[in-house]
Amino acid sequence: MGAQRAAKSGRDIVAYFAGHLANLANGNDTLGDAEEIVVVRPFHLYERVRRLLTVNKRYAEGLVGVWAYPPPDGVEEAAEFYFDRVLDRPIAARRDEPTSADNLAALIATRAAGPIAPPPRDEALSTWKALVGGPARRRRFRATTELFELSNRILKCLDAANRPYAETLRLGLCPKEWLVGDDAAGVNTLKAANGFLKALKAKMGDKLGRRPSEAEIEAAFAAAPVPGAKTGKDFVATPLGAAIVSRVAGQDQTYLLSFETVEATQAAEIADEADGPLMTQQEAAPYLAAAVEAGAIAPPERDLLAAIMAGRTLNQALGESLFLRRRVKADFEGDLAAYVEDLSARTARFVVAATRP
Amino acid sequence: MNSTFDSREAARFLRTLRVTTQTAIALNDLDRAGERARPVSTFAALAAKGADEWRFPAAGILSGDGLVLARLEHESDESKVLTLQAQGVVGLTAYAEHGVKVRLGDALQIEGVFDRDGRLHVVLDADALTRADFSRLEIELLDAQP
Repeated sequence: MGAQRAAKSGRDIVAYFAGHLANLANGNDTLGDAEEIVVVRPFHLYERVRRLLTVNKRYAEGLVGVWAYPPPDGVEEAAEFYFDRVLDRPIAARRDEPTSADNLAALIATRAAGPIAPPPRDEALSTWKALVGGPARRRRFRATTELFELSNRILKCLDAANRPYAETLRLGLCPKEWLVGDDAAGVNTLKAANGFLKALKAKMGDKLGRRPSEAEIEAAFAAAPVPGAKTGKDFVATPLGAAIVSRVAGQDQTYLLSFETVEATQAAEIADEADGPLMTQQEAAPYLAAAVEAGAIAPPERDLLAAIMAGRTLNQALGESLFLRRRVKADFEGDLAAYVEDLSARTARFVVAATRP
Repeated sequence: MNSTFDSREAARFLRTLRVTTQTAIALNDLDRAGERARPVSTFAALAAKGADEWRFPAAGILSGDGLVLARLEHESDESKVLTLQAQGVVGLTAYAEHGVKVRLGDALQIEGVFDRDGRLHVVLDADALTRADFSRLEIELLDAQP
């Protein structure tokens, strides 16, 4: 394990946002540990979320992608669009099964400590409506493991609702232009277009800022075709394909830098769907042990992750380990969160590599 | 390493890792907001006084706890505006919609409230500018919660 300084990236910002929403909805920013009841006031919560999306640089750039919005739109407009298209986007049911938003609402309903309004009929719930639409007075999720389940259900909603938005940002395009209106693209088209863009960048030797040749376009399309088009030439003649090529050919360094940032936040290995409940500490132990055995993480780091999974706070989990404290100080400038993100990413990479296809 | 994991169970592990670490980090950030917002915050770098007037770094100066960035803006002969902007999740949680007392040395104290976006503008007229000591900028949190 090298002791390299890990960049504090926006990696897995969607999971961080879900964790943040869970903590805010649980009153963890204002209530003491001993307080049992939280009263959820939708407008207060909305104000906190809106403020975070607009003022917090990590969210404004990594999640909302304000850099993709052309003037006169700024961060306020971008955050408003993100709220409408992601947080308040109705999540449609498949095969009459409960949606991730229904499951979130059901969990929240179990915490009712007062009157509860009947759920709206025949209306697909959004993440936001599931989060604030249940009982106003709720018993808090006081055990951290309970809070994990709330966070998990919010993340399941966001994984579904955020995907088209994130795929549009990965293309370097403005979600407001490509998720609504006549040229709106579906999520599968956007995913395929990202595959094409990745292949195109590789064929261009990652030297952007110029128009790709026909040969490069066709080679990229052969490696990563986009449904609805027969050839690369056909695809770049569509509005979406033309926009992608224009962005690749442009000299906009902000876009090029931002693309790399967003690309890093959307790693495929951590965006996979997983069925079933979260693992217990005991269930997770063999994975952590194998990571130690393979040298992906050190024994004290295994203990740190095990403690976090058991519901201990970061500082409690860090404990008195001199190894961990030295590493946080020497390699992460004292930034414990950056260290835990790096450790989590290393562990995830190991498990992905050691998993049967 | 000779173990290979079942893909469904590995996906459960990855999801658990993802949810637990990021939720713990988010909770840690909120806790830091409560712990780190000391009643009084001083600033890590200090403005310097030139021959005639204060020289304030163009990039602003950051409070010692890293939660507030101070800039001197809208400069004119008659007045200036000291803009305080809370930084990051921790700074926003600690300061947005909270009242503070801004001290610029012993001779000048001004009370204000950070807005919902974590900004506070302090207008300094000519009289205030003569009394202000920017090298001793401090902010004191007056209330615990909005």
